[in-house]
Amino acid sequence: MSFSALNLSDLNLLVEDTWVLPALLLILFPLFNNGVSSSVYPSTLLLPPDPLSSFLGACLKASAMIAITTLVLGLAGLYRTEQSIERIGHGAHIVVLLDRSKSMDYTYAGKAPDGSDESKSSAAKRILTAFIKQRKNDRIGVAGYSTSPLFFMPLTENKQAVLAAISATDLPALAYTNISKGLAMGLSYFQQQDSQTGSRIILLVSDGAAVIDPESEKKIRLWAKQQNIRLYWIFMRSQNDPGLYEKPENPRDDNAQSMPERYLHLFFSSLNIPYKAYQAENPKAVQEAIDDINQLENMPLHYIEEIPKQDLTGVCYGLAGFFISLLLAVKLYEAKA
Amino acid sequence: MNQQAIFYYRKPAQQSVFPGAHPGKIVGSGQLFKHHVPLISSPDLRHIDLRASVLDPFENFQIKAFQQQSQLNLFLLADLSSSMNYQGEQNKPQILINCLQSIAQSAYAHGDRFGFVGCGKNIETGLLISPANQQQGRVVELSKQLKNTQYQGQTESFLQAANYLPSKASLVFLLSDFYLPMEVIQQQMQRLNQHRVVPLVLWDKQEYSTLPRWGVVKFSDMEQRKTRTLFMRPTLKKRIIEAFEQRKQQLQNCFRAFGCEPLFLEQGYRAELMTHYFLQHTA
Repeated sequence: MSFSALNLSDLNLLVEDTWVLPALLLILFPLFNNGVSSSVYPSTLLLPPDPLSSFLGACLKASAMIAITTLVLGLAGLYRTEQSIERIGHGAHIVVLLDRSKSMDYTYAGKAPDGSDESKSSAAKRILTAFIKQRKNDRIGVAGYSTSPLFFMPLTENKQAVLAAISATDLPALAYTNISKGLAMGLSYFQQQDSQTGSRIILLVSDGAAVIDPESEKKIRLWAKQQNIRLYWIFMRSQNDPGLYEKPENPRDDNAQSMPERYLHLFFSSLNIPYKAYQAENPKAVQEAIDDINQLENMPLHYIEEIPKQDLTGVCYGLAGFFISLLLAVKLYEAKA
Repeated sequence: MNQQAIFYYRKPAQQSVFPGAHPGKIVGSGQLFKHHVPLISSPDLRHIDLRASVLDPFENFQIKAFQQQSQLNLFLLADLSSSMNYQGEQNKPQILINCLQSIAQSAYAHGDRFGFVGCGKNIETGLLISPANQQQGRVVELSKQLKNTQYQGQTESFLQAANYLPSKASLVFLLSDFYLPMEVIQQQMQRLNQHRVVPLVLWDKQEYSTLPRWGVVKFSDMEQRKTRTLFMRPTLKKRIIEAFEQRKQQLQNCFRAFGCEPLFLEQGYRAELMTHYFLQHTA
């Protein structure tokens, strides 16, 4: 549940062309003539007073004045300046970090999708879309990584933009997996924030891992601690891939090169931050992982929402059209006396 | 002369030295026996009444005295305010001219004298026939003048009109739409007290009874710079008609208090209406 504190006193309405505004003086005209074509009458003193007619006459003048006002404001280009609204919600800052490597375009069975089975990337997209729709008050950012990190969408409360960014990840994927740069990109989202409100989450969705070089390792370790993040890793494991917890039979194979997933898991565990890995072998398992996160992350969130400059000319013309059609209706209702 | 326009009218006996067609209070040549007078006061042997003279114990000769038919002054006192420009079902300025010609012709036909006072913003001497006379040419000229005049003002000179009437009792036709305050009408009636007044109320059906049932109408007042916008509906129309009926009642009460009956001209002027009026009302 969120609420907005919108201060009506500073609506911050401005116009583009101030030189049109003197035309607002035209609103004085309806005070003198309500536009109904008049017929002469010997003496209006004999006509009985009629409150309904007086009221409707006043309404007629008022609507003429509103029509002129809105029309002039529309012509002048009325807009509302950029606003920032303080919002409090229950939720989290979530950075969805998507693996965009080539292998994500294959199914869980490790084949190119042939219609009977969906690819890992489209499964991830479908489930993430459902997840984002559930998380109403979160601020979500999207990043991806392949050979290089990819910046998709900053942290925003605009769900539509996030969904669009997620759906854009369905495009054919790129080359390799460079997880360290991707993680650095995800962490950089939180570096722009001054103070922490709500929990900070990095949701890493990938189907494989890679070796992290010591230089990056040091930095990631530092930033993860500094920024107080929580890390969730949805590991979309393909068939026959080594799991996160598997120990190789041959001790010679127990190194980062041959078993990057296992070593990445060990690295994340050693970061001393809340971390959880989900080994998802099919779409259902991914769904379970997401439900889990959904339950866990619901802390109070305090943030400032930026509302962009709003063009109000459409509203003005709409109102003007409405009131002019009202006046036209009265004009057509005129009787000849 | 248009025979259709002539109507019959009369007025209670009056003090007028000029002989005419109406009952008078003057003793003179006439057909109606009034009383006997001694020969010495009226030495006219043609009218000696032998029977009365024989029966007179004082043995004076009795002469019959007759009531002289006397002449009457007719005045049309017309409202020339801007509301009289109204053209509804009837054309009010035209009715005014018809009325003027009819009264003038009737007066001429009866051998009476006719006068006209028009009161608009002020009383214009150009549009005035006073004192009353029998010149028909002046009436024709006046009707032409009135035809070319746009009436203006709000009857400011209404109460001054009485100053242009003779002190002698006359028959005064008061033609107006009477969209005036009741007090003004009462004051006017007080000023015209010595005359026999026939109020002619010039209304038009289009002012109330033929208004539309539905729709928006805007009326601009002809005398004041005012407009009224009305959202017409059957109940409002009914109320307007009721207001006019109430006004009619008020006017009747007002005029009856001064001993005269108003004549409502709602469908134009016809001389028969006048004849009918006089046959019905004059004592």
